[in-house]
Amino acid sequence: MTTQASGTIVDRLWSSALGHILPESRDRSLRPGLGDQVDLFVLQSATTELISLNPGFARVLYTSAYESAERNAYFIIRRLGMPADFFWKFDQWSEDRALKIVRRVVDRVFSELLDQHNAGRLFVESVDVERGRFELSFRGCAECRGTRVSGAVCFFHAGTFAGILGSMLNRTMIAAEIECEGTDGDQGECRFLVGEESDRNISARIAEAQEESSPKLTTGTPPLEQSTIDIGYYQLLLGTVFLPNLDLLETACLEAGREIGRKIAGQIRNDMDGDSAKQVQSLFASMRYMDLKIERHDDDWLVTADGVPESLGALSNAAVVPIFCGELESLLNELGDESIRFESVERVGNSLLVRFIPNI
Amino acid sequence: MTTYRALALGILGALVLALLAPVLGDNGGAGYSEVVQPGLLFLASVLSLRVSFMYRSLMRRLFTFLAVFLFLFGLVTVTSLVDEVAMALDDNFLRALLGYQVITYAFLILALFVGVRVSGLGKVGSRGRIALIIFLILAVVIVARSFPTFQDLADSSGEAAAIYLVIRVLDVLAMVLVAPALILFAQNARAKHQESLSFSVIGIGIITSLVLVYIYELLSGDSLSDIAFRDYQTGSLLDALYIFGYSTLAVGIFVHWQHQEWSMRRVEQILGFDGDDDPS
Repeated sequence: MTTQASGTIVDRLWSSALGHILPESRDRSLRPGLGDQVDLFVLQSATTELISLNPGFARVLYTSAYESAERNAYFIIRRLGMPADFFWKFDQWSEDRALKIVRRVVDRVFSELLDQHNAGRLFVESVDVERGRFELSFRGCAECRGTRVSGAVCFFHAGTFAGILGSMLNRTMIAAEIECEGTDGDQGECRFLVGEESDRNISARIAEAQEESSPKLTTGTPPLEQSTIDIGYYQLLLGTVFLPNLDLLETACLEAGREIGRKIAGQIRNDMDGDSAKQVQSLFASMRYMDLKIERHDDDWLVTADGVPESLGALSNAAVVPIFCGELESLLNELGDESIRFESVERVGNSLLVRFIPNI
Repeated sequence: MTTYRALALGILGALVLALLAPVLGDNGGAGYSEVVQPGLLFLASVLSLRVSFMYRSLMRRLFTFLAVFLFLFGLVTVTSLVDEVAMALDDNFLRALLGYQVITYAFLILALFVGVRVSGLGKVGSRGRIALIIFLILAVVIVARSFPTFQDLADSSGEAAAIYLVIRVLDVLAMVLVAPALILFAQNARAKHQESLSFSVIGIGIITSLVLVYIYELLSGDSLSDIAFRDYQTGSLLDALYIFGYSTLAVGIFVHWQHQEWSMRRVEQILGFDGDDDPS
């Protein structure tokens, strides 16, 4: 996939996300059958597993999120009718005005956008105009809500928030997570420090977090009760981070999926009731991830998947991010009595057809 | 309300306010001009001071200097006050007026200097250069036009003639200094992250307030002293031009103040936040 093609898809995803906060398009559903919510485990397991398996992924997550948000935040506020000069001479604004206005824009547009996707709510806590610094708090963070994570995990949000503020103020911003709900669960929120590129304190924190990051996710067995996220947000993350880097990340995604599948299998093996195919179908349905139909054809396994977030709406023409293929492979291997491996995935109408072959 | 709509309505309102002076004519045109001219300048001064609190650093200085300039400029349009001061100072009045004018314009020049510095808008384009040349030619013509009166005055009082010339040169100098800033702002009116439209209107207001009388002098063919005696604050066309200039200036500053609030409300309307609490 070319950079331009993936860029167009990401822009469409942002545009679709904007649709969530516009009154006239709020009720549009991307997935009328299964609904537009997907279990939070789907998103959390994908990001944390990729960060744990690949030391460089935290940086990819942060950078991709920054670039995507920076490009699209400006278009969003322009599409909402905000004039191009809204933040003119921000470095000369009084502290009081800067806090009021930035807080209002963030609350009305970006926090609302995240909230409508059930991805969290963003607050501007303080603004230091002279140093170009912002302190943000993020409650109900989708990346770490309800989990226990050892190590930083919210790189996507850090990049996104830096990109949003950078785009609004027309300057290059950076952001570091200074407190994480997943690590310091008592806080009930994540906190971010956003500042200008030249801010050494923040850049040092970012470098430290990215180098040390190896989060170990501790969460309940999927599905996570009452913890869902809008697939639009999951798609935004997929499109923003994975599509532009799919050549680099394809193998990593598959491997991360396998690891997630192994972990789930370990958790549910003891409660197994019935054959493995039915168990996997039931698990994916309970996570509202997708509808699966798993069939055996001679030695192969054919899985027909409907309502797959990875291939709906703006992503319908995109290359499939194969995390769930890895998950299916591990689950079928671990829960069944055969050894199979992922062979291919192809689009057939609105469905995805995933083929697994015997592992010889 | 949008900024464009507010500017359009504001300028329309300025036009109505201005036309009222000649429409009233002998039936109160003079009294109307005597009240409205300083009133508008004081209003613009208060607005400029309010805007200065929206900023810190250079931008705060810019609007503070502009507020002081407008206040001082407004004071000399209060005819009754000027008459009393003239009587009290007698022969020293012209010298005092010159000193006052130097101080007044010093604030304007400071504001313009800070404005150009803070904007950092780059170079003037080819159209801008043509406009600048026109402004320079106009400046030269305005100064040249004063020589006959200057010579007449010089025959009776050298000092009065010198003061007369210096006041005119100061007015023209202010115009020449405002012009590049105005052109640069207009050039960037559509640029990303540039708040130029209301600034351009403020610049137009300053220029018209300063030099309209000289253009009126050029067009009418009369000397400035005749015009001042015959037309100033009498409900004349000259008064209408002044009122229009001052109103435009006040409108520009008001729109600059409200620009962000109007823009934000528009966004909130689109997002369906009508009447909700302000999160800030």
